[in-house]
Amino acid sequence: MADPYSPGSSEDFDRLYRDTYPQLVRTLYGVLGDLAAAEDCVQDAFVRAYKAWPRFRPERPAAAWLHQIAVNTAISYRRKQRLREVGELLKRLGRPGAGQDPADLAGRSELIDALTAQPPKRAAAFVLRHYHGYSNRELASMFGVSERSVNEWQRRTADNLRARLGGSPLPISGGSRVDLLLEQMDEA
Amino acid sequence: MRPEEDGSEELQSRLRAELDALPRAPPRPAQARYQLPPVPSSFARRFGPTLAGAAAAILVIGSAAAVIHPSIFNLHSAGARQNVRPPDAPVVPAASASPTVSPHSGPTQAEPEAGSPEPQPETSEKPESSPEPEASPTPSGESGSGDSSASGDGGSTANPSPSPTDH
Repeated sequence: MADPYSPGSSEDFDRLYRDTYPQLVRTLYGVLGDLAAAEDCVQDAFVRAYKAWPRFRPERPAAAWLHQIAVNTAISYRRKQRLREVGELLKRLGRPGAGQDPADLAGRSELIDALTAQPPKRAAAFVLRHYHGYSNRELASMFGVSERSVNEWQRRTADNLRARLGGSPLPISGGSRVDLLLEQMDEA
Repeated sequence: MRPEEDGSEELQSRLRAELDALPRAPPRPAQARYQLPPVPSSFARRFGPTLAGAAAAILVIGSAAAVIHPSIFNLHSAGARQNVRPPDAPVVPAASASPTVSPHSGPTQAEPEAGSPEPQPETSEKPESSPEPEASPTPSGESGSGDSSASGDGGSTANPSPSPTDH
């Protein structure tokens, strides 16, 4: 088990940076679909985390805390990106734009394309669960929603990904035994 | 509950293959952005030079206007001077300036007073503050109190000194 991090310690924050940077980049790459944008948002997230580092509570996992900050940063980035796109569309007065750079599109897989088309929180929750191994309960605590909402996110995201990638839908909806009981209660 | 139990193994394996292909080595902490000093906000960076230039332009234009048209400021200040009079300043009537100032003084002393557009009748109401009537050689009505009716100046009851209209 890794040594705990001491809030306010610069050395521990540097260690946290080395330990969690790759995980955060992968999570945000799944949300944004652009490696440069993901690294930029991760750097911004560490700036925010460094400011809040003295107030960090050591009883909660540091990686989950950083992921929460990073996902919020990515959500803000996507919102600003949408506004920029709208502004550029207005500047062109509705004329079609040049389109995306083919070099950018060539490096992206269909799965990442389909994932970035999802709402950012759902995409992040999908990556955190299916790549980093977070449970739906932990994700519910991270995003401040109910566990049922996270289950619904996972189900809809998986269905949307399969529809875009051309796969068959799941016979069983995702979730734990508790989630299945909750769904049965809803259907009753 | 592990992610593999919900049946999305295919998606999970594809996602793992995509994300594992990304570079793993992080930049050194010394090169991290949180180590750098804070930069100005986007608003300051975007509009700061513009606002500074606008302020400089306003200053230059205002200074140029003050240099080219100083009369604007002179008119205002002249008007202010005309309406302001020291409380203890001697009140000299413009029409009676030459004979009453001094028996030996000429009209030159009265010329600035004669050119003044301010209302002179106000001076006739303050005889006691004027030193000239005291220096007048006239024998009567110098004190100005109660003897105004005996003076030659019929029109002004408070001014004992003879007016130019008398001669």
